[in-house]
Amino acid sequence: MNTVVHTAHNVTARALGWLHANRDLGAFDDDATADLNDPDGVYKPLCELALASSLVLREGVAGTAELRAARELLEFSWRQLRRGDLLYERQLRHVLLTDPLETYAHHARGGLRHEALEQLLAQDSATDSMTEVVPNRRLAVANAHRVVGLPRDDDPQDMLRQTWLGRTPQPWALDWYTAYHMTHAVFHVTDWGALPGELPPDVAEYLRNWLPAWFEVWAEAGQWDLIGELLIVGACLPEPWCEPARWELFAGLQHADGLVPRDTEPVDDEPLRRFHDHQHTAVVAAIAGTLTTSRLLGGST
Amino acid sequence: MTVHTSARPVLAPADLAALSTLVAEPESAVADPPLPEPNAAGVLLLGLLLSPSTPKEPRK
Amino acid sequence: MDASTCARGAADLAGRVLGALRDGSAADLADFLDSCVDATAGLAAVRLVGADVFLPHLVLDRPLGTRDADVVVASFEILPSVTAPATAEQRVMAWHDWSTARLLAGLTGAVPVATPEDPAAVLGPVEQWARWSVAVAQLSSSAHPGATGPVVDAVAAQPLALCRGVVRSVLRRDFATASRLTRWICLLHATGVGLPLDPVLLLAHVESRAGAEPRRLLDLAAARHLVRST
Repeated sequence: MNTVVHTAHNVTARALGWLHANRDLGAFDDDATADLNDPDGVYKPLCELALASSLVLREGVAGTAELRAARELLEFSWRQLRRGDLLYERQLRHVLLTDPLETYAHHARGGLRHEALEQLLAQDSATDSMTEVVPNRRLAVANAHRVVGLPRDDDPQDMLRQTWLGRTPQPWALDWYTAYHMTHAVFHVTDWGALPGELPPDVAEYLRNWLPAWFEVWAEAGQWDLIGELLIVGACLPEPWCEPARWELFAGLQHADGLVPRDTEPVDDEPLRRFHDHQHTAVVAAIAGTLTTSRLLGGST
Repeated sequence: MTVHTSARPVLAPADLAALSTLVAEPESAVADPPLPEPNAAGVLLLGLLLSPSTPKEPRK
Repeated sequence: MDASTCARGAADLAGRVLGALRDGSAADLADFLDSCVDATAGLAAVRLVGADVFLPHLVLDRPLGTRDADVVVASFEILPSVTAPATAEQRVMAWHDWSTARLLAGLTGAVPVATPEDPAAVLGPVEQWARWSVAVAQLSSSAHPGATGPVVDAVAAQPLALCRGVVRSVLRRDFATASRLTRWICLLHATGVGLPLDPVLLLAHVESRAGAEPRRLLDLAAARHLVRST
């Protein structure tokens, strides 16, 4: 087997295993309502968990145990969201918020549907009920509509051109925050690597030219979460960028239990803190490994 | 200028090594790339879902 | 020889070369040497600035005076070049000296000098573009207007590696390395090599942040002349 496939496959298996083993640490304390006091505390991580799980299931390149874990995790987050009722109530109450749609899209991708929510989302889409967001976020909403299957006249190519990436700026005109915006523009326009051809040739060439340079800079700075996202971007390109040395570096960061540290700060021993600090990077690792494995095995061509 | 055209000492190999070190100036050992500000509230908001915060209903 | 005295002398000399470029005069090497308390350190400084002492002659097309040529010859006499470089630093030094000696020969009509060795030995494998570009930066005095030779050919054949290297150094905010690499970028641009970034915007970005070290400013002045000539 190709050495990167092997490495990427193992990173996903271990990251997913860690997310699965620690999933109860990411549960709501009590019955959550549509008014989330702290949307970033449990709700957002659940959404990310659903995203990673849905992509592992979509690609279908993981082992039997990993596919079972992914299915269980998706069902776990669905149960936490009261099988979509929480999203439905949140969308009813806060008409212009886009996160119920985006969170629902990951579950819908995995076959978990909520009829009343879909009707509501269709109404909101028809009335263009959405808050004003930055361009890469607008692409996220467009992709969520695409995944759920709500027809719109969105033009993802046009939306991409509104983002930082779409303008292909001089490659040093990038900071840490904008690097995350750049990665997300790629994730959404390609629907997480399912549609690599949605990247225009000039943008794909731009990314192939500069991903290695950006990876080098933030790897030296120990920004493991960000370099994981750069690996996902590499897997979303028409011609995937997945160099063995980069993957070895990333895989080498993973702890024995599957945790991937977000940066070079010491990892806290307290279980809840440990989970909340690093769950995002585990999600990133699981996605990076899944998409890389799938692309190298010939998916999404 | 006469002083400079007179016989000059030939420096030792150690001097050539010292000069080579000056010529082959290494890159900066410490990188200073753009990073998140440690106290920025936005750090954890970034990620796979960037959602605006939930509007708060005024208390009656 | 005291390294810090030599480095200070090189900064002084680079400042004189910069002034000459600005005023359209020659950098009076003999006068520089007269100003040095320690003539040996002064000659070592000439050797350190290397081919850059000829920038006014290359850019402004000024003839090289005999006295100035003698100073450069003397800088080689006190410290003979390494004939069989063994370390990375010695390889850089050998090519640095080669550029100086070759320009001296060209300006004085003397016999050309032998090239050191395969440039791959000094630059390393281009696949490791980060390390490769640091070696390229160390040889920035070879990137002068009209430059040719094996190292120039090797660098010109790898514009993407060079561009990744400069983007990395700019993002690391290592503007000393970035200045030297920008100079190479501008040389490639001047010779018509296609680049995936804008050399003029890069130069402006680096110029604004490079500080005041005269040898860095000399790199950037050379770069500015290269883009102006296109």
